[in-house]
Amino acid sequence: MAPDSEVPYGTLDLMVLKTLDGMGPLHGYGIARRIEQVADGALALNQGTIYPALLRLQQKGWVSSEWGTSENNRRARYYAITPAGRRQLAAEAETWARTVSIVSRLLDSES
Amino acid sequence: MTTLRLLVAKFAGLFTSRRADRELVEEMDAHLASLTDDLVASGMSPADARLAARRAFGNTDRIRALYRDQLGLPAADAVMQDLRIAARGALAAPGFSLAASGALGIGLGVATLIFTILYGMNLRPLPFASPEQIVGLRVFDTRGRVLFPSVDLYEVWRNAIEGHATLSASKDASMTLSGGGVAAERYGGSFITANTFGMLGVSPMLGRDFRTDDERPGAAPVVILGHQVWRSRYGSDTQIVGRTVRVGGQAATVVGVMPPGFRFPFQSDVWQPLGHAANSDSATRVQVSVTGRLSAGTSLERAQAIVAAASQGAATDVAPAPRGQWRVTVRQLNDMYFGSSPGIPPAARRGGADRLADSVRQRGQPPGRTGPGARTRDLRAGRARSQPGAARLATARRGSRARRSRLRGRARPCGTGRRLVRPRTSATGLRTLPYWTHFSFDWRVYLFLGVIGTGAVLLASLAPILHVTGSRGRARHPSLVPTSATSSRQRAGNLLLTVQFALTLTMLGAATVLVRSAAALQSADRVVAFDHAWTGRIDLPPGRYPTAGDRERFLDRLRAALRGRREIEASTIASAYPFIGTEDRHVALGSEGAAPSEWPSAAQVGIDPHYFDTLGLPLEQGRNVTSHDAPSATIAIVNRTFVTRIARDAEVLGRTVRLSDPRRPGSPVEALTIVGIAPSIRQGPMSDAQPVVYRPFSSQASGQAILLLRSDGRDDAALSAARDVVAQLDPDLPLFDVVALEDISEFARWTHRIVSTILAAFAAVALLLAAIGLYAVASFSVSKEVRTIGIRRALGATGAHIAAATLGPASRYAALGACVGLGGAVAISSAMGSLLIGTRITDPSVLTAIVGLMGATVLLAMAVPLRRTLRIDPAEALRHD
Repeated sequence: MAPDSEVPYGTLDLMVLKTLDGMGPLHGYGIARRIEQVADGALALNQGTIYPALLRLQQKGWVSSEWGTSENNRRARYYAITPAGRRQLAAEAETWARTVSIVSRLLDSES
Repeated sequence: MTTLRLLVAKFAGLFTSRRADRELVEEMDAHLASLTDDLVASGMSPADARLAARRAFGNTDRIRALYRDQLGLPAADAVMQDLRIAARGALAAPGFSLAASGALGIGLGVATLIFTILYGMNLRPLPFASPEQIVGLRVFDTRGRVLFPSVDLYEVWRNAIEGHATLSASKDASMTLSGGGVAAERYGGSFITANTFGMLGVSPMLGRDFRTDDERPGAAPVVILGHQVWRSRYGSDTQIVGRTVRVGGQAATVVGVMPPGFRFPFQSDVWQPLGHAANSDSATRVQVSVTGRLSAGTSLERAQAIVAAASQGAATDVAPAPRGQWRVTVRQLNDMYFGSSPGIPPAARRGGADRLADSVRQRGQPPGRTGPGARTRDLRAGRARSQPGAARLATARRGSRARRSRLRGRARPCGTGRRLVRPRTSATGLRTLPYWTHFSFDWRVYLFLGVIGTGAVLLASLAPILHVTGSRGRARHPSLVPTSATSSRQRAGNLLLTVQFALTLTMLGAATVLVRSAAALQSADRVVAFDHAWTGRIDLPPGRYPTAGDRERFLDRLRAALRGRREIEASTIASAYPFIGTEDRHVALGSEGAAPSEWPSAAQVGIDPHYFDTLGLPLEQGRNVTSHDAPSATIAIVNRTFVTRIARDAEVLGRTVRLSDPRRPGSPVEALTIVGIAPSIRQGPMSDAQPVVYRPFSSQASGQAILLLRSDGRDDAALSAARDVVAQLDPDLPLFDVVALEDISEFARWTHRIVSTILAAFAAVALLLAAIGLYAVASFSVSKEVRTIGIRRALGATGAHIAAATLGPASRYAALGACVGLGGAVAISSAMGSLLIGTRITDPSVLTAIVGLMGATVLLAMAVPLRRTLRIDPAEALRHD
């Protein structure tokens, strides 16, 4: 298994959006768990940092939130992706894919 | 779009940060609890699970800080935080905060007031297109006095400067409108050259401008009306153009009506071509004021050079003074009126009795207001007209304001001018202002207030920052800070306190003596019975009453007709108002040998029989002027001041008083026999009483008469009757400036009232600021010395000792300032000279009042710091940092 690495700058928002898009409404803990689960230990995520990111996404109108009750009966805030968030996710995913492919090609040609 | 949304959200976040933080903490707690539960479920001990959860979550404080930054605008947040701290600090010392903000408020208020006045006079642009091009030409003699150029000189200038500027000339005059079944009314008017309005770029609202044809000799007389006249006298009649009205008793065709607010050159409401001025003026040469518009590209200096060169070449019979003894200046119009050069605006040199200038209106409101002020005035007049009952009720209260408003309401439609008069020769130096000068707030004044307010706040907040920075520096590098820093600051504070108290006491002294002088004048005027006493003016134009006989015949008919009206209890004619308006004479009793110019001065007033009865003043000795005395009778009544000052209390009845006219040194000396002694009434605004010689009124000298009357209680009816009488005798003649006699007295005290009110206001502000300053210095000394005071207390010092040691220095500086200020007050009050009536700064009562007021202020300012000092508990003080 690869050693833990920091979350690349600017990708946390994308990961949160993708998680909410795929999983439906989730609380902060659920989102953090899901990201860690997908990363399978390859990512060193300070779970708390998810909250400023969620606030940022809410302020931009890409995520909405409402209070509810969690599976173990705790009061929790549930976050859901908005249509604007979906559009943003699509756009960012495309940019990401393009960047990755350019970088990969570059790295391939160098090797 | 997203950026905007983000900004709005962050701004909203500024106000919801507390709730957001609470919710975040709740969310984080739930998060940690869930994570811990899961870790326990996976087999960890609860304690390890809690630790692991915390590790996985990260530093909660840091998360909260990140969240807070994301929530709002960090910079604004910091400002809000500072404001909160400042507010808490202010609330902790409410007295001091109130004092400081009060001082700041007063400072801002005074600065704004001064700016508003300066702005109104000099900075507000003239209400014309390209106002910077409008200039005024003024002629000065070698002593800096204003001379007025003749029309001929104006023409010399106009021809010389052609192509570089357009010049126009005007001459202010009172103009009487009559005819059309409406009683005659007198207005401020101007004779102007036909190009004047065009030069300004203003066109009549109705009809046409003057044409050069209108100026030619023999042209049909024409007139242009001001908007106010058109509205009030002609009911806003749109068919007025082409109609014939009577101006100064002559028929003239109305050719135009000017737009609202336009009253060029000064305060004019009626205009006629300059060519008409010669007909109405007995002067051999018409003197004018010259205004002009510089062409684009012509500088003031260039215009000045052209005009000066043309003046050099002007023939001597055109020049206003011998060659080399006069000069002409070209300045922007507002500079000319309000600049550094002394000068008399045209309004102050109207002909004849109109030398008496200014107005009751001017006292109440800024003159020449064409905006809201004028509207208020009109409304007031209209209200008074339409609600005579209410107005009467108001009058019943004897309120001077109510009386005046009723007066306006009545006076205007009945054909009186609205001006009350005041001698242009008065020593006040106050003059009417051009109609465009008004002191109101507009965006520039608000901008000024904003800028100085911000500046003051920045300065005030900069000082503590520098102080804090300084003390930090000191803490780190004690050797770098000069040890005298604190003491020099303290010295500056003490000096400020001393200066403040000196200025305050000077102002307080000056205000006190002036207020007392104003009161002395008022009580001196009270010898006259003001109830139901009214005054009005009649000017008999020389054109229609050319000889003394004509004038005397008219006045005889007027006297008889007034006597026949029952509403008028008493009436009389005089050459001057009581209280103001004098004709100076050199006087001598018996056959003194000295030259007349060496004789003492006295006022001469021409009176009719019943003058003193009408004023409600019985003679002290001797007899009145009676109807049996011819106007040429060589008798005189002198007043009590004459007896004490000139006769040195000797018997005067039956003696001869000789009078010499100081303006005509060679004229024969008149000899009059004294037949009576009257109580003293002053005849000048600057003294409580002066020697006066009353003699039978003679219309020989001029056609200007003051009518004094006392009604039987029905003031309205009596005034209407008086107007009817005048109108019946001559429909073109207005009875104008109808005002209550009490208003004349009030008017004659105008200078004292205004100057003393302003000084008193400034003194009050200064006193308040001095109190604040003293309070601040004293509080500061107490807070600085808390530990020392505690130690002294613990060592057994008495309260008095401690108070003296702590507050002594501040009091000493205040006392030093007060002593200096007292000297200043003595100096300034001796400089006031004739303004002071019956009082001196060295009067014990004045000194007691000033020192008492100052002492009370000091006690009040020191009370709180003193209380704090005496309440300091030694145990607590020693713990004080």
